[in-house]
Amino acid sequence: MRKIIWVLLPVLFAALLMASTPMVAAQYQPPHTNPGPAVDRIIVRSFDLDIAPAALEAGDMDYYLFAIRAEAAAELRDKGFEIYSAPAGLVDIIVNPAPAPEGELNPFSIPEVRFALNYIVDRDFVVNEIYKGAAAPMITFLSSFDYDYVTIFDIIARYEFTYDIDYAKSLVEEAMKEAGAELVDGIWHYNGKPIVLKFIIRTEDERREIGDAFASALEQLGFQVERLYMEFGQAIDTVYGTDPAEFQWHLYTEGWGKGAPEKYDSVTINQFCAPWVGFMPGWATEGFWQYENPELDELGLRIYRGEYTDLEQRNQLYRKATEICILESIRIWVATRLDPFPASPDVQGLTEDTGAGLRAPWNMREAYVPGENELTVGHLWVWTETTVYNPVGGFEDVYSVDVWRNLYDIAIARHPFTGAPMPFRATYKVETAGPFGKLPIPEDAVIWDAENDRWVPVGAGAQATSKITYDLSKYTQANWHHGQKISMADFIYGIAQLFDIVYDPEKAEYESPIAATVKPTLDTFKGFRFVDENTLEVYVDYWHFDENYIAEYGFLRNADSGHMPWEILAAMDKVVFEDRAAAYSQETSTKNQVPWLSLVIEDDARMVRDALQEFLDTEFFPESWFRVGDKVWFTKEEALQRYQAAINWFDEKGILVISDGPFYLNDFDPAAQFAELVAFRDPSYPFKPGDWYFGRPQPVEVLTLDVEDVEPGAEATFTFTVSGPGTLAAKYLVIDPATGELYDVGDAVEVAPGEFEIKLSPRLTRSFLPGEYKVVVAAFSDQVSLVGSRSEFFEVLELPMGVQTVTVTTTAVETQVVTTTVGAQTVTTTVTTTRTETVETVPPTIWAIFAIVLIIAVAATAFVVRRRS
Amino acid sequence: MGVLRTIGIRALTLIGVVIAVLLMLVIVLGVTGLSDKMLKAIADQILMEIRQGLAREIKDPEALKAAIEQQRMEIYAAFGLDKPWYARIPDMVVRVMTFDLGYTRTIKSFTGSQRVADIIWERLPNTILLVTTAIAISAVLGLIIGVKVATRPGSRLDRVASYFSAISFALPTWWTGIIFIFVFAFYFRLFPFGGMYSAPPPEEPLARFLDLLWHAALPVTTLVVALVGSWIYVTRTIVLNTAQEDFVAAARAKGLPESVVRRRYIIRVAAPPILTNIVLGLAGSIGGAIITETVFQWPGMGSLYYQAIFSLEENLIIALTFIFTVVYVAARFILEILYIVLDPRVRY
Repeated sequence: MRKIIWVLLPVLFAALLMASTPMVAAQYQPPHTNPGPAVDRIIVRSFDLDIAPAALEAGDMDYYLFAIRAEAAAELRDKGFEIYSAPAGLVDIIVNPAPAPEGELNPFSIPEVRFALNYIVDRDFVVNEIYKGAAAPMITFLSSFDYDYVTIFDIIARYEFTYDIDYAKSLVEEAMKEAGAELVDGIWHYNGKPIVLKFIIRTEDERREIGDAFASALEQLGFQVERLYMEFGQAIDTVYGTDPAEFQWHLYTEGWGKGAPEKYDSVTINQFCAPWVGFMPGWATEGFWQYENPELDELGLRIYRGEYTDLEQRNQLYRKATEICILESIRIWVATRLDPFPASPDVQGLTEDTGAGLRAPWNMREAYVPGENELTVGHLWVWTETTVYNPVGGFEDVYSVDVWRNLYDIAIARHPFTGAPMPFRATYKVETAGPFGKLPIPEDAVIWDAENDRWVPVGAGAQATSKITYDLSKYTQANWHHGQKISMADFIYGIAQLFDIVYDPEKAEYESPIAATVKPTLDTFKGFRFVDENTLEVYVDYWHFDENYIAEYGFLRNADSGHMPWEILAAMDKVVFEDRAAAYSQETSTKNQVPWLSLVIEDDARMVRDALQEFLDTEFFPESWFRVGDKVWFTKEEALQRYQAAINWFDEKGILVISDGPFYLNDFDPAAQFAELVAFRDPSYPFKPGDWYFGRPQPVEVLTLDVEDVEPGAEATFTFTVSGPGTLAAKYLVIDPATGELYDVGDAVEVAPGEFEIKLSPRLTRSFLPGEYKVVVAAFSDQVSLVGSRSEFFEVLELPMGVQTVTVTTTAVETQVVTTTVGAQTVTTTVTTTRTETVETVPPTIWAIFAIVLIIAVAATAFVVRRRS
Repeated sequence: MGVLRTIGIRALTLIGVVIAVLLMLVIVLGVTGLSDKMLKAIADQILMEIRQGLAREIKDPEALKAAIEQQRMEIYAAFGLDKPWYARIPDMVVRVMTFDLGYTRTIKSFTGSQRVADIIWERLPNTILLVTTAIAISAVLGLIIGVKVATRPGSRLDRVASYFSAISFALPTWWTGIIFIFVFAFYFRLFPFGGMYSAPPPEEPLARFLDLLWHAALPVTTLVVALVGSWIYVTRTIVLNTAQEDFVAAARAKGLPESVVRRRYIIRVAAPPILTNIVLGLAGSIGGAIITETVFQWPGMGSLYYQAIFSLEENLIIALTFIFTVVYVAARFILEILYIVLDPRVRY
């Protein structure tokens, strides 16, 4: 029963969340069919968190890009406002597993004790009371908002991670006694001294209450808990800044921001389970004691590097790593926090992105209020000190990114409901020989020679794992915001600029923070072919079983970087590298006491403008950057025209943010906390309203689940119906609710569209004893990362009256040995699955004896009568 | 000669105060290890976020480790963590004392400058407009009403003023601010709810200035409502105590007109403590009003100090502490001179 609750809670929560939201996809009517966004103008301005709800009610803004408080969201919902939610943060309790010094005992160095902690988190209380429903419970590093949740659905069910202090106590007692500890007056002692746990509890948010509840539960287990209430700085310094072997902490209420949804996770599992990344105790800091687990490292690295042949193999690796991670229990997972974003009910065209909520790039493009031509969008801030608009080392805070993502068009975007890469403004074709093979690179492919500032052929015999051919015509057949035509030369310069920053020793030294982080990625790029004005071929050492991921990896200037005309990039390069008057990155800016170049700050933008003026005056043209083989992809005349257009842009607006997206930045005032975005209605712009509207994620729902009574030894069939978008699939599990024993788990078979069937084999049903059992089904779609679920009880019948069974029991024990290294200590955990099969034989009953006696009597009578006659 | 000597001693004492404050700052930030700990925590948190991001981009684990290590060194250098506190903080203090305020690490002015002087210079007028104005208005109102009610103790006006003082004193500024926003900005729609300028802000300098004043109206009113009560109460108490002195009774007994008694015998005697309040209040006003600035999104000195502490901008913390101390010391020095001028008996 306990298992079921915790398998079901997250999925039910997700289903409830979605079920409570109307399906509006079909209702969206684009206001017009002109190129560009739905509205002509968007004002982005700052609203304090406390007054944002009132401002929304007063009509001073149409929607808010910053998450409001849960209570305020509930009030607004009651008043008819729309609330869009997005999972925003993860909360867990991390434990310190370092071995204690001689003569002492750290209970958390014992995996069984750590494992027991999973049962002392009252997740129901956390979600409903502490987060007031604006959260979803977690029992591993994934929640029902993650696509891979389905991959490990049954593993989660196998462990009874519900709130059960007594069970936890029994586990702890066994393990502690084995380690030599004694329970004296309800307190664990070792070598005559009480065991005291230092629990660092963050105080700024709900983690204070979570920590207090967890500490109380630990006390019930018999541990003395020293509660250390700390804010950010002190806590971070103590937990991540000290050697775990110093034992300045035993437990810590850890919090994490949740990244964008990822269809096939390769990072989260490594981040939260595998020590090699540096997120496990010891933090890969030299000189510190390190939590080690070679098996998790190996599995994690194979997932991370893509060392598998297909999805099936990848899922096996993922499941195995998850299982070990759960048994290790270095992190005790608590909840996923949901951020509520409010919007006026009048606003049409909003998409509930499962990663970014209303901050996603779809919304400003599509949103409008019927009858109005502009929107006011609120944010906590429009400008802060780290709001820096430069496409090389800027765009590091949400306030700049949330505006910028509406000013440019990404080539390959992430789907708002699945997190899978998908074509946005570029289309592509992928060829790959991966994971183990190589493709030849054509000899005329080129690579940037940073020392000589020119493109050089890759030469004969060069190879790469994958080749991606991009169709960039939606860019190259359109214009930049300043009216100049987008050219392949812009892509050529953009790629060369990155290579130059990384491989030109002088540039790499000046902007070492960028060079160091980009170099490992650039090292995997083996060649480029600029085929024609619309087509780019990229050769790269990267493989994934999903080709969309290869395409995304291969598009170098996909995200925040790039998407500016080459002359702006060149002028910025001059300001940064030649004049050393500014820096691309914050670290270089601080180190050299020069501005962190931001194109919305007038003084900074003026430096770039002056560089452009110098280019114009000296008729500067970096021909070698555009010469590929015999072809030069841009002319000096075009360059001079571009310089003038960019200068005019600055002279008119005082800022220099020029890009290729649906809006251009017309005005930006840091002091007034104000930005004005104006629709880019150029006829060459390829998108119009409605092209990128997704609405709310359509829920995957299990509508019906029909079960029948099961006769032991007979086949049983359950059917259920599922509604949802895309291709649907489902898994099931059968469980004894009384004992929590898992009887069966498997994939349901789709017998008709939306109709699924589960067949329980005679062999399985023979193992059931009479009584009540439960079947749980989880349905999922390839188009949304949220899981739908339903469960039903079914009855296992007794055999017909008078038929008694004699049970012959055979027990098969499946044993899996998991070896874990904790410091110098190697712990072997044996996971034993016991499957009991019962075979019934029908014994003679009184009725059978009576029948036999009757037959004998009849036979005897017949014999006697016959003899007499 | 006696007066000059007194002033000289005062000046030396106050310089000592400046040095003592800065010394204490060095102890708090450096000797206790607070600064290093906080900076390291911030740097490590940034590094952790970078590590998360890089893990999604770099697929070679060794390259990932190398990149993170490189980033760590860069960030530590940017935070000054590559030097021990004693090579960093005292140097900053000495530089600040010569009015070379240096550069910040992240905080910058609206024009993008990271020079501490530019940042302070940009914020100071905002604070003067908001807080200094509010304190000046409160002081004037407090003086007028306080003197008036002190001369009529027990009257209806006195009782009303006393109740109002108590309410005003008890009102939390942030709460008053939010109530004012709801009532005057959202309900009556008379004033903007916050910020310094409209969106979009007017382009014309005069129109922009008037827009600024319009935006300042509500936060200034909030501060005045929250501050004026204590001014009335303090003034009333001082004046009332003075009015009950024997020499005032003697003046009245001599038959002097009430206006003369009030002006010469009461107000002049009560003036030094009231003046102390006014001068120190105005001097302290440049420290800003963190909560009011936050509620009304007004970028003043208070929020700057808060930001500096929150992100542990050592340079800015030292510079602001130095400036606040210098202003306080200057105000005290002016007061010392005024005391001597106002009261010939003061020679210490």
